[in-house]
Amino acid sequence: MGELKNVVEVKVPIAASFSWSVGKYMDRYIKELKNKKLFGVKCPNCGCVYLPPRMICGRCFTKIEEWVEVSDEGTVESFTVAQVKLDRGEGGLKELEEPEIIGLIKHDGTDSCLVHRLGEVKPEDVKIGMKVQAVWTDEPNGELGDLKYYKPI
Amino acid sequence: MDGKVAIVGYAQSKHEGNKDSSREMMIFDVVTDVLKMAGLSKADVDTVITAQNDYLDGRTISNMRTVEPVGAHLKDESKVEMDGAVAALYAYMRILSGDHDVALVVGSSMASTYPAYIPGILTLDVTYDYPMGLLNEVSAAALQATCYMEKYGVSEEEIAKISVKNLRNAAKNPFAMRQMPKITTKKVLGSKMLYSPVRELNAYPLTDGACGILLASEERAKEITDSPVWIEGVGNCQDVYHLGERTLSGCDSLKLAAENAYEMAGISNPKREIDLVEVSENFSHEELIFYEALGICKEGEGKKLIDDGITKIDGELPVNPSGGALSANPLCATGLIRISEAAMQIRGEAGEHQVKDVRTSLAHGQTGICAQENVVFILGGE
Repeated sequence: MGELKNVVEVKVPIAASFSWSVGKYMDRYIKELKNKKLFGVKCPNCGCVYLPPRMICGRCFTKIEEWVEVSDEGTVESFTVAQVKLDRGEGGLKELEEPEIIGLIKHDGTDSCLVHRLGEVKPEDVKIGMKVQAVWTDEPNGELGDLKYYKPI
Repeated sequence: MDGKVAIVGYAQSKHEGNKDSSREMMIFDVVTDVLKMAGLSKADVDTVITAQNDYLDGRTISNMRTVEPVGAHLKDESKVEMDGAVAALYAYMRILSGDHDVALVVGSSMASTYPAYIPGILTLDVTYDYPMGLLNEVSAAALQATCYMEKYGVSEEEIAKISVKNLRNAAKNPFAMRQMPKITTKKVLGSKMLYSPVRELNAYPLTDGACGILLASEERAKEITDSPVWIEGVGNCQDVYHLGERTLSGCDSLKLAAENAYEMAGISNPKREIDLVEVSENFSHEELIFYEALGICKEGEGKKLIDDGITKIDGELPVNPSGGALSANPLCATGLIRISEAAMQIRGEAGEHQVKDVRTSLAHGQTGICAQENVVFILGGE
């Protein structure tokens, strides 16, 4: 945040904490992570499989109700090597000690990508089209962090 | 379509990283300037549309508190929490309704007042992307850039050339913030890497700024000015919210918005029929994606336009002679600045960055991470 040169600056801290229901679909998605399983949904009209699951297919304007178990393997559709990380308190992009690789991953048999970390690979070796597999924590708790990252296979 | 609507005035603030002004005075100065340009007073304005965003201002219904500086006291007034080009579209429709003859559109924000890049993450899906903590507007743009550049074999040098073109152009624009007359590709490629391939000089600067334009019905426009700039076509299109469900190597919503605008304006060959383009390229690679979505080249051939100098200020089809969003990007004002610049060029009032013989121009505004929503205006002179 800047400081005005000639004017008094008033700090306006806004720290409201919101509790969102993730909805029934993300609820199942997150709970199944405890079993090291990935569940997506399939549109009854166009057949697109969404992972993470979506309640509505925007293309077809259709409610989606069919669950499908999805392979833990997929393909890197895009990636970026992060040299910085957003500081969620102060704001601004702060230097990372070690670069972090962020990927857009499309699981086999699905039609959408999810954003996650890539690990066990050097930044210079990551390629679009690279096959990857989910790596889980040893003792999953049914939370997003259960899926740690994706490694090349 | 029956009625015609014209732009009869425009004004911008001097865009800065940390403006020595309150947001109210920044807005008041721009509104005063735009009314003066058109020779109008507050009483002549029938309706006011403002573009601001609560999360950028740190207060709810932020535009409610700028009624006085926009001159909306005891007037018909409405608000848009998106880019200013959407507000302009709304104002345009209000005039077409026949209920109003003169509309004032004002967009503004001050990046110096908020923690940098925090508002952007407040737009993320709270059930997945927000808690994952990986996406923000820059990392998302980097995923878009990698996707596009890999698919079409675009080099980092080629996207650096966009920054060079625009930031050199900005040096000729007195309102621009990042003015770099001597910038080189080498300097862009030497700037700090943020999220590969996006470097500091491939990303928009955090900006304080405002822009205002005045729209009028055909009859009123002719009374107000001898050089009205007519709105000849508009298009607006929204893509799917989730980044992982979009085609990031292109911009489908801009393609559709442009097609609608061209159809309305009777344009069949945009590259030949349009004389000047102003796009909201928040990141340099986006300008190449936008060339393709606007149909001024084929898919994957955006780099040829920059390599061949077609889109330079003295090229066959200049893009962003103002310096574009890479030179100044006050969110909510940026699309309006593009419209203002596109109108200014038609009126021959752009000074040092004036392009010769501009009869038809195109202005583009975007809202949302990786240009989720896009608005296109086609403007024409007499």
